Amino acid sequence: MREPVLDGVGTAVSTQVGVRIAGRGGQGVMLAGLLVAQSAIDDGLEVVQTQSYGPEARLGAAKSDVILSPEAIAYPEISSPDVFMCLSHDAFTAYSRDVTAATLLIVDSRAAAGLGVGEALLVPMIDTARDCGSPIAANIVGLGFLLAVTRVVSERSLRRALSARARPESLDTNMRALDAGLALAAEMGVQPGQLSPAGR
Amino acid sequence: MQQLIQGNEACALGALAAGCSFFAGYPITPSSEIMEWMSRLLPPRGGVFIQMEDELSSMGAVIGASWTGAKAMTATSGPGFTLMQEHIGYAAMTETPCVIVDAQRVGPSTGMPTSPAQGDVMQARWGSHGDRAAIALTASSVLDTYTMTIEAFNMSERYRLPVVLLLDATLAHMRENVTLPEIPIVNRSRPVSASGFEPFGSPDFLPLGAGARFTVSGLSHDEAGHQRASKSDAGERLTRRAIDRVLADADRITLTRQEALDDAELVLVAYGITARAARAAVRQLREDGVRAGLLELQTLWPFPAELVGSVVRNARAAVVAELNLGQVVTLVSAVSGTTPVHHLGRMDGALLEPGAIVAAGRRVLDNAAQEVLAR
Repeated sequence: MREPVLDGVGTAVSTQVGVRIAGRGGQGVMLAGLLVAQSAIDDGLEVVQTQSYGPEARLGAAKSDVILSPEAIAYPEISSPDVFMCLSHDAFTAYSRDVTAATLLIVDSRAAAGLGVGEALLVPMIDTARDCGSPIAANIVGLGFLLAVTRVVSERSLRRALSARARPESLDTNMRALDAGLALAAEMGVQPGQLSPAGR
Repeated sequence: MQQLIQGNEACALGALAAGCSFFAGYPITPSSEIMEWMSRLLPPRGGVFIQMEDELSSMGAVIGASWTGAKAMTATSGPGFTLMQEHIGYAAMTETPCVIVDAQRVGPSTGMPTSPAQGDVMQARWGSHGDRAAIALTASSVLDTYTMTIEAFNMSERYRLPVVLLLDATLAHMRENVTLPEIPIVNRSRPVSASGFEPFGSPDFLPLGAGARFTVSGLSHDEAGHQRASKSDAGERLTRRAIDRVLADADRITLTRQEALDDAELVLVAYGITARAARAAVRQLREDGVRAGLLELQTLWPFPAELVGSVVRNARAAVVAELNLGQVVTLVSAVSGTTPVHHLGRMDGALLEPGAIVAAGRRVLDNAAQEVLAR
């Protein structure tokens, strides 16, 4: 398992952080990206969120890229992600071309089977979400974990964004999923790293 | 207030701010969210939203709505834009104010529905048959999409013509934090009196049912709307007048962003989403000691030939970066004098990256230096 404290990313993150969230259409990849972006705005950062998917109506590989920066962002795409959270096998294959040794990989443990994910943090996002009440909350479990290991946005902003964007009937499940993600990081003994564009 | 807004949403919000009260369209990726937002926002405000059976009828409905006095628009992507060309020509012939948004994707034909391109620049100008007055704008950010949608409406109202706003798949689906500004709104001018008013060839617009009888026709006609479909100079006269109305105001219509051009030995010309990469490239090149500058074109038609020519001729070399295989570069090359112009283009569904533009800029500067040595 890779060392999650992100000092190594150093210089790049003092100005701009690129977060990639990918999965299968229907896994809430776009929503997860939106939540990160919305949280970052509340934290006073500039954001650009882009997305990519194929022409399939559902189940195709999809990704949501978010750039967070204390300054205006010129080029809107991530050239190489600082963090890559991935929920499906196909999405990892489709969107890992620009991953480098400096990329923090957070991959669902089932999705990672048979993939050469190197030093990824393997996280049971889908299984944990099922325990929280719904496997489709895997995106939020992942966000909780991502938050714990990167602190790329503040927890307060993320909770506020989730409250604002989640459907009222699913808010409890989503909040449980977020807590479960945070708890998973603690259980796995992952130290909170600093990958904060605001230098918090 | 800072909001997280998608490009397509910003377009719909801009249209509403501009006073748009009619939308007709047929959904197509990557423009569909504009239509979704209009379907949600227009009816509660007393506006009309219609999903038509195709793009031909969508454009027809927009023209009809405009003739009732409404500010009307449609939104589409390449394949739909092609289908609209017949009626865009009709809108030009009948001097009908309206706005057409084209969120460009890779073509030709169905191409790559979810991938960005800038391949419709020439179609925005020359897509319908015959000569006509034309204005086409573009945008490079979510905020831009909002303001340029309003500009598109303002210009269509001021000059009485169909105005095209070119977006692309990335910008259409991209979200950024923005604070929406207040922008002055232009409304088409009405004649003082309907009696004796000639409905064509004037910037004044008299809607149907406002006290005068006349024909609105795609056949060549004169100022009164009488058909002059053979052996008449009326059609040319009115077309020239419409073109002149735009050219006479070209300074006001031409919107650009100029960055670090004063001492630039290398000029990057870019527009739309590609201008973002070019801006990043300028900063990279400057950090490396290369005097690079950016000319971002926000107005593509009428093409600001004089401005582009003076900027490019002042430099040692220029790069035109665009997501097609060579469209705006042909216009830049025509006015570049002896300055070498290099084209950097692609149409594989990916954006041009800053690194590729930096490399192209260095190459073209090196080549220019070698040519000088060889002389």
